[in-house]
Amino acid sequence: MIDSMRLALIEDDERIGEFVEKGLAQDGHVVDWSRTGPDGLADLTSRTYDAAIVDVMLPGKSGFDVIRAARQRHITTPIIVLSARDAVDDRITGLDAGADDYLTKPFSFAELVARLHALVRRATTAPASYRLSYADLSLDIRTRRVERAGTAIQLQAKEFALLEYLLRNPERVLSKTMILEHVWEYGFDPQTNVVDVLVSRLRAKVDRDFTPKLIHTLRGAGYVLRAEG
Amino acid sequence: MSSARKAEHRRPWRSLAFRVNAWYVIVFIASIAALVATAVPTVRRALDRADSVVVEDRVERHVAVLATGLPEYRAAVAHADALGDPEVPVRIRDNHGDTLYEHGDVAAAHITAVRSAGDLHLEVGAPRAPWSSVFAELRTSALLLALGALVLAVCGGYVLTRRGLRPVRELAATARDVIRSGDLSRRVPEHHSTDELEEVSTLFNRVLAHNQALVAGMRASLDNAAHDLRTPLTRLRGTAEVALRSDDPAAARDALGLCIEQSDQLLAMLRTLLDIAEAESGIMKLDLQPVALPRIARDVVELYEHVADEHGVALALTAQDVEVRADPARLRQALANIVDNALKYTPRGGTVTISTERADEAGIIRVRDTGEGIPPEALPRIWDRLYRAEPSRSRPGLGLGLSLVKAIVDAHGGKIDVASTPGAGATFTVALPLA
Repeated sequence: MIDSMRLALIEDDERIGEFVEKGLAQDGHVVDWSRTGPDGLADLTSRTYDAAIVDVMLPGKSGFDVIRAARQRHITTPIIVLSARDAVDDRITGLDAGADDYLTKPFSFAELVARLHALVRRATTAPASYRLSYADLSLDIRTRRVERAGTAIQLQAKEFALLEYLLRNPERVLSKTMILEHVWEYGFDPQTNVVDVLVSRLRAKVDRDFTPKLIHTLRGAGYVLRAEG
Repeated sequence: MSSARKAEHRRPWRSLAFRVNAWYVIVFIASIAALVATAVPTVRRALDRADSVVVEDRVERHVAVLATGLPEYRAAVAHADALGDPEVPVRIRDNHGDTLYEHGDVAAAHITAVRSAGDLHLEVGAPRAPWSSVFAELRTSALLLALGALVLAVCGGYVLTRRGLRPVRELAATARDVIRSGDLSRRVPEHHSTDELEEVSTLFNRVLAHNQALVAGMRASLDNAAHDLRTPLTRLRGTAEVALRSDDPAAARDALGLCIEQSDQLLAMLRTLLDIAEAESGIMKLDLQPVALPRIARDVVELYEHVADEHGVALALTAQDVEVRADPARLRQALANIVDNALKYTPRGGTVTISTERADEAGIIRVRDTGEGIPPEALPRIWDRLYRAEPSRSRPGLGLGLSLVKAIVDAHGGKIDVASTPGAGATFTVALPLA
């Protein structure tokens, strides 16, 4: 797993750029921030990045054009697009231009980080493991056996899917949207918070009778699998 | 505005009624004139030919009598019997052109036949009087007739076009009214006739009614959105403001988390409002394909099984195989909202049943709950944006769910109905076109 990433950020909005740069720097990543399309393209082509974050509406050259130009020059850096428009067309245009992922504004910072990690991991193709574990919690994908501190735990299908997702992303904040998409492949906001309900059920089985607590709620951000705090 | 102004002050001769009339009157006069111009000479020529035959015939008889001598001839003409035609003007002249005898006025005859018998030259004319007076009479009566027809054509044509164009004038007047006053409730008077212009009025009224409904809907949704956005915005602002005044870092962290949650709620609401607007205006992109209804129902059961369990409500599925033409993601969203709503209104120990079945022309999804039901007076309003039947005011939810469901179902060309017995639950039925 990569701890520190070198990232290119192409974003013309000062406030958004500032919080993305600051947030990523806090996590120990190095960010090169350019404010126009041509500057961003120059960054992307002049050095190697682990991933790039590209806004669509940019002065000089649109984000899509920057990505297209970069791909034409055989730059394979994984790219995530930021857009204020939620239109399906935009998403398709972005992916057609050569982007790897798409995030609609306003976005959760935790989600941006998680998606960046997913992109980088995809790019480095980590070997798949059948057995996932964190602290004294373990899960076997083939046998579907879950144990904590040697005690077997019975999980329902969606609970299992959620725990697998958390174990694949330990100590990383997962937003409700990401969990909805990952566990149910559902892309809308349900009126009742089905994610809250599933997390609390999983917690009852995995955390209630054990210490330390592993599944934590970060208000407004999502959930995280972590051994302390 | 300027074109409407222009129409109001249009001069009478610029009107369609006037121009159509004027055109027909001109055509009418021109054709009568042409008819007269060609018919009269033709008739005249025909009559002249008939006259000349008669005159030729007479002149032979006259020459025969004249051959017996001038005095005999004179006597014969005077008695008329021998020639059988006293009205015929004749004149006899000698080689010097001096008139020897004249009976009647040969110079006035329009056709004259001349024969010579020895030194005498005989001229016989055709009587003109009867034909000329007939023509004069004919001309007068034709003129009178034409004048009468002209008056009738002008008046009748004017009345007919004015009456016929009445729907257009009324339509223009209504349009002007609507533009000037902004009052979309005005309608063009309908006369229940079957002519084409009447149909235009009916269609125009339908467009007006549609616009009125749209504008009313937009106003209502804007009011509601403004109202319902105010509440979370107030919470958001309040939370941040109170946290700023406190010195407790833990409380500040909590407040920041709350702010994010509240902004997420705002965003969710904004998305739903946009979805509804898109679906209702017909610009929602639907990825239509054959979709198995049981599959969608199972997805939604999976999404809500844990929630139902927490509520102590059984979530049952009775699936009959049927494929409809729909956008799977949107259909799932619609069904999820119906089920979400049903779970909210069903008390512990109750059941929510999703069933799919095939009807004659449609695929049906039904969601039946055993909740408190919907009061009859609330039934027509449950599709309204942000409407919540009073008892549920305290429950979470945006009140937009069912409006979105209806908008999505409508966008698919489907139908949604609700039936309810208060106290005995409600049943939502969605019918979608078969694949």
